[in-house]
Amino acid sequence: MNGVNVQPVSLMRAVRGPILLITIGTLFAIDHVGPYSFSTTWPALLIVIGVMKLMERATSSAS
Amino acid sequence: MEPVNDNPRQPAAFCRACGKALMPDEVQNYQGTVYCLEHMPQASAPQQQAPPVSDGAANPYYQPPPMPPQSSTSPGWAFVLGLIPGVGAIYNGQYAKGFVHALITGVLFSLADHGSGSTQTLFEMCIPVWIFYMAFEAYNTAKRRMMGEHVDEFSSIFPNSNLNTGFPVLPILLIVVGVVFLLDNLQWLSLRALKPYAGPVLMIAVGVFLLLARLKANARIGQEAHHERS
Repeated sequence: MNGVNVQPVSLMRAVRGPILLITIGTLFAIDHVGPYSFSTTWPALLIVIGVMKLMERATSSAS
Repeated sequence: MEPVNDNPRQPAAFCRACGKALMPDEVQNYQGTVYCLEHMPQASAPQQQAPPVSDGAANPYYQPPPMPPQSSTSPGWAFVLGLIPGVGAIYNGQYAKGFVHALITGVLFSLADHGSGSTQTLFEMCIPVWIFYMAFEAYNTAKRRMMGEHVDEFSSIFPNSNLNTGFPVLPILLIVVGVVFLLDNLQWLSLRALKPYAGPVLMIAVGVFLLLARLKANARIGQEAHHERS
């Protein structure tokens, strides 16, 4: 059918929210069971957001 | 059941209510949603949007024009409600954004509560900035909705569409800040020890960034002038 929603850019934008939620969930899980508390691991969120933004750019310039 | 391919023309859209395939000249737009003629809700505003597509078959991805102005949205109310985390975005009908705003507020408060030393102060400073950001963001979005303009899902203040242009400043800044704070939290690196260098390094970085921006703008102007001459 039409390939409107199969472009890599929109795919990256679509997975942005879920990946962030998964990351937050993982960090809270580590907060509960792991050795690190959330106040230690929160910068991982910034890194994840930055990497996703870079990937968005890479996929959009590749197409 | 008759075969669909009897008709040489492709359907342009499907009715939201009954799922019927619609030819381009049958498409009815109501507030950005496609309906067939029977399921078209009784619009309070006269049918002025969706000018007839001259050659709809040639352009199946026809974008309906922006919605008519919605006078029921008040930017002032959006600002007041925007002071409550997430509520301003919900007032504007952006539920996902409201949820994200509330989530970020919660994370900020929790960090300001449990942070250690220098980072705690940082997040305490961030909370009022973030709350006023939400309020102004809701105000801007409401204003755009009132004017019937396109509303960005990400943020109405920072543009999100300048992908693919120039150096990726924001992503790299995010990654660098994230790595530095992570190393500091894991105590593999002490921000306290680096503090004296922060001011000079920041000034140099801003200076280099501004210099690059100027040079780029200069080069572009030169190119345009070159184009005009040739």
